[in-house]
Amino acid sequence: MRYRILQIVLLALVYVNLGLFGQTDRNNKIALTEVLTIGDTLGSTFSEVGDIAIDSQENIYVTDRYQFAIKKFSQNGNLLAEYGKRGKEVGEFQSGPARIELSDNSVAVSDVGTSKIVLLTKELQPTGDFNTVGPIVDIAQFRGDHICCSVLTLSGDASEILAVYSKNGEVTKRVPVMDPSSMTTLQVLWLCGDHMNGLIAAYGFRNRIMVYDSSMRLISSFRVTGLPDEAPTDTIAEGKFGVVPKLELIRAVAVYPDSLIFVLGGDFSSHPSRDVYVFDYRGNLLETCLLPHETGLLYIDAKGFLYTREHDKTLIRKYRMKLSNRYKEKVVK
Amino acid sequence: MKGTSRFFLAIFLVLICFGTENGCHKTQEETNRRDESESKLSGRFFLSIWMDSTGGSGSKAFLAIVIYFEDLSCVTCLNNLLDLSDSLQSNHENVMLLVARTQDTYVLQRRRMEAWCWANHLRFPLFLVSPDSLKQNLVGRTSVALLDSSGDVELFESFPLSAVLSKYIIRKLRE
Repeated sequence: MRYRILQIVLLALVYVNLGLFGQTDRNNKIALTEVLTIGDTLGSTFSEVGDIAIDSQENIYVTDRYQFAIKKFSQNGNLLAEYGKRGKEVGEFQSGPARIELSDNSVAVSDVGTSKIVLLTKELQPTGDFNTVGPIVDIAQFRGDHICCSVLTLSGDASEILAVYSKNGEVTKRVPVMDPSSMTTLQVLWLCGDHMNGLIAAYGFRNRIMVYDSSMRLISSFRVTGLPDEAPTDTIAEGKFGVVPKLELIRAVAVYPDSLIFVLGGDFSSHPSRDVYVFDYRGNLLETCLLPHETGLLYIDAKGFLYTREHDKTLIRKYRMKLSNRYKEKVVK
Repeated sequence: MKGTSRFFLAIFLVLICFGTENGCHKTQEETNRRDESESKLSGRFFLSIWMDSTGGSGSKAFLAIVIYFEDLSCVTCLNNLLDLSDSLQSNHENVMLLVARTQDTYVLQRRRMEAWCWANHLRFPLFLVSPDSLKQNLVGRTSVALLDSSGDVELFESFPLSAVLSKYIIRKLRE
């Protein structure tokens, strides 16, 4: 009888311990719950999602290069407006809409492979455009009359890689970057603005993430442990255009409203396009989480919803994110 | 080729076209090489697709526009191709588009290219073709092949085309 009681007590202890460890493990995860899907796997809605942006009403703006279109959806996924016109006149695209960024009352969209940025109203009516100093890689932090742009420098001048532009195309501030490559093809820099008007910049082919404050001063810089310093390359010609990276290190970067930096791992991650490295602003790695599906981009809106681009870039998924409380301690105000 | 690899290639092409003043313009040496290879290019390849797929008689001159989509990251080439296509709308029955297959599924690539053609007002018959068969027939870049009424290749050139060449093609198709 005593042996039986001991057995029950031991079993109870094991159960309690397992429960505690299980709970701890669950706390380490970022829980994702899918709340919306726009598009389908056949490409009926989107031929190829290029980029997305979300406004304060949770409307979703999507670029599609093949359809030559920018589409605006309500938070329920209903199409509200659409725009896209080929041409060389004001507000027209030469090769199609690519990266998109929003300000309080405007939309900025880059033209694929060119230095042109088209400006539109929130109802997708074109209002103007301007040119940067080189083919645009990414745009971010669209505030009032200014927008940050990363470009591929044709001159090889690293000070041109990242800059703030006014709406008439004037460079109002050059933003210094760390460890710039002399090879133009390795200068791809992904951008993301944060809610404090700061900027996060991450190289696509180099292991370096930079954090800037609202004055575009570098406040921290870090790398993802476990990933190589630089992507391997093929040399196919002489000069700064003759090197082509074979693989991508970092695919996208996003910021959670409480100042957590989400970095989407590329080809060197254990799960390419699914591993997300979560850092605080000092560069401390808090966690690596695994997305349910591969994505080519990450977007986190002001309310903390995560948006991804899945299934051969043919659909957008929106997830509710639940973060554990321990992240709150890491937030830099 | 993975999507990212295509992106890298696209970047390279953009830079070549952007970075060098005459990046997309062929040198005399290239033209000479083209002239040599032109003689080896067989019209049968294009003609068989044209006749099998469209039921075309083959008794008129026609134009095959071959598209490697990643080449169109070169904006000069893209604009050149679209400008030529705009000029050919009234002769759409004599033009076909051959698009090199990518790693996308057939259905998805077809949908993408149909959407792209629709958005850019290209109303020509569209065919997806294996890049291997294109390369076997010496077509490794986005190009045009003009076939005369007897099915021989009269002209074969990569984009971007010169204005003179574009006008020549338009004139031949209207004859």
